[in-house]
Amino acid sequence: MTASRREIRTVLVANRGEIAVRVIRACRELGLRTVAVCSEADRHALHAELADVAVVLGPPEPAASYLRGDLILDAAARTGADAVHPGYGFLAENAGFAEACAGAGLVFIGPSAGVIRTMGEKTAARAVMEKAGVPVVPGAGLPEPEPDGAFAAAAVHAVCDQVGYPLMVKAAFGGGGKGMRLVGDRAQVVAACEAAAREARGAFGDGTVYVERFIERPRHIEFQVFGDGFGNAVHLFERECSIQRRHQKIIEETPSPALDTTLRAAMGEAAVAAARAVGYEGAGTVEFLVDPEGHFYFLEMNTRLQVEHPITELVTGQDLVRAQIQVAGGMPLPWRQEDLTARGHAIECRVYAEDPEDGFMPSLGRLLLLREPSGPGVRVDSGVRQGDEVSLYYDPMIAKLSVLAPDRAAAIARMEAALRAYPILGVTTNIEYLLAVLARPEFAAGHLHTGFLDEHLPRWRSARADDAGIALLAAGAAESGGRHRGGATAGGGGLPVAADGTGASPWDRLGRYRHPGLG
Amino acid sequence: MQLKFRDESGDHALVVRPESDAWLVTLDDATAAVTVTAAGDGAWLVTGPDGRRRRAWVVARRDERLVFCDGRVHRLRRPDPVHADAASTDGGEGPDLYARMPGRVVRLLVAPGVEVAVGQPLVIMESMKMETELTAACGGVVDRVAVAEGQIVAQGDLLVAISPPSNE
Repeated sequence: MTASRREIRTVLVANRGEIAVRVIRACRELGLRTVAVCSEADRHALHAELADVAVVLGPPEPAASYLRGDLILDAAARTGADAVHPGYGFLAENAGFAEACAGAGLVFIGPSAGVIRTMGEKTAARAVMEKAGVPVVPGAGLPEPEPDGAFAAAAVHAVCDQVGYPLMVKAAFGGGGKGMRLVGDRAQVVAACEAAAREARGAFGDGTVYVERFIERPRHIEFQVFGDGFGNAVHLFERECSIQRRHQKIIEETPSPALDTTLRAAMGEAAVAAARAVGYEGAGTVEFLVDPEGHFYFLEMNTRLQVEHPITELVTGQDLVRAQIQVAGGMPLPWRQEDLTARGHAIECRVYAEDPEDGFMPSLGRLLLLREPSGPGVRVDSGVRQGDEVSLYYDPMIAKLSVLAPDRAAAIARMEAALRAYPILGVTTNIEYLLAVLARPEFAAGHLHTGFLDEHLPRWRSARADDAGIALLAAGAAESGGRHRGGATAGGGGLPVAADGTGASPWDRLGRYRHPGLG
Repeated sequence: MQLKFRDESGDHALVVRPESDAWLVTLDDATAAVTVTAAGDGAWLVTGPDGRRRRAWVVARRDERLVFCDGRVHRLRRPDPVHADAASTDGGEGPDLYARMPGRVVRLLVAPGVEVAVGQPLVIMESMKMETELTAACGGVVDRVAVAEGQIVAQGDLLVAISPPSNE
């Protein structure tokens, strides 16, 4: 296979939030012009302001903006873009969009539409992997449901009894835990298939579901792979992603505490074989389940840049987005397998606007105060600033906090210190919860599996009462005014007041709240 | 200056006095005042009796004061005598079921007149593309279903009204 050079001068970034910011920065370093697209709600978002040009697509709903491939291609034509980077989510794994880009003469920075289609259909992907000799989890497809969404119980039972219980119902075109159900026994299986199909139809536009045997206490370990148009394929080691809530990863690390040299080599080879089996071009991820005995099974291949790519960049010292753009431009991979090494230990925590005390429900509102941690080995990938709004339209992830340290214990300590120095006020976040996970002795011991949070932190509650005195003392001083070190008064320190549109100045408000008869 | 704050443990009284470049704050019945210094950037340094300093960030939102300290967030309220009756708007305490966040009603699992038990699923909601089952906080009889399947609801909207069992 030979690739032809395709000149890229202007990249349209078909995404929002931190990943759009990440891609725009990489483009800038490569000397490329950038075009952002945004919804009306994101007109003043960080990614829209950072790009050289921003095009407003439409109303806030993703279906009316970030998922409108036609409007995005139109924006590319109007701004003279010659390549499209899809980020992750939205249209990143939409084969039709990749095809439309190619049809419009644009370089799609990702694998071919054919590969996206094959890997996006989980059942087809399983078949390809089995053929390539990559181990897969035992499972089967389900018959079509009736038009009203009901499944024929007998047909479902016939398939599922064969696979065995407990089993997982999964969306054939899914990802990110949506359209997924764990079924303990045959009595629940039909209802679970219907619920998963309904959720899948809503989230992915296709309600096809299939079933897989449930592997108990598995680890979720994925390999970063990279291929080019010259038939080269390499892996950039693994990421352990076992810490998940509601099937969404919240803490990832590399290297995995579970892999020794032999298992890492075997899984790395399988991952590269998977990439070669489909002639993979660009960045991709091969996900495996690893059971407690060290058997590994192909789970799925993600044909995009992963959310958690920063930890791979930290340990390998490579820039994956830069390499994506170069490969898409028809250049060979910048590395051979033997060039790639990993140093130290990296951890990423996903900081979400959500309430761990209330079923991880998203917490919406304005980021009234936001300070990001810094220091050696600390990286923050954020798409928001203080004053921005966390809205119901988009994923409530605020940022990804990643650290690199010489070893795992040092990385955990560095992450804990960084989380404690990451004040976010205005929405509820999972920061204290992340700290509670890192503090578990089982985490320190590296005994991770995908049920870790349910097992070790069920019904978790904040321990904020421990610091209640500190909070009251600080609030008391803040209320009393802006007396600063050196004796300056109002204006230096003081109490920032929410810019919630009510218009009162901070000092008017303080007056109003002052206790009657005092002061 | 005297202040009152309310947190999860109840009401607290503070006395705050200026002292050169800091504030001396006395909390409730404490005998000694604690030194609190503005560190700029919205941060405050609270120096404990052992000399150890803790850093806290404070921001105001209406009658609330939000404080971040070592990864934990505290919500304090300035008790407001005028609006004392306009208590919590969460509505999460009684038997009635409210929407905890904006979303779409996917499916109604109960009808008026039906007897429900604690934990029984009442409504399937979809928010941020995730389906969530909302369950009964306590047993009772469904009085009224206030929404229809497919309806978009706002946070705090009543979904299902429930009367507690009458023989109490």
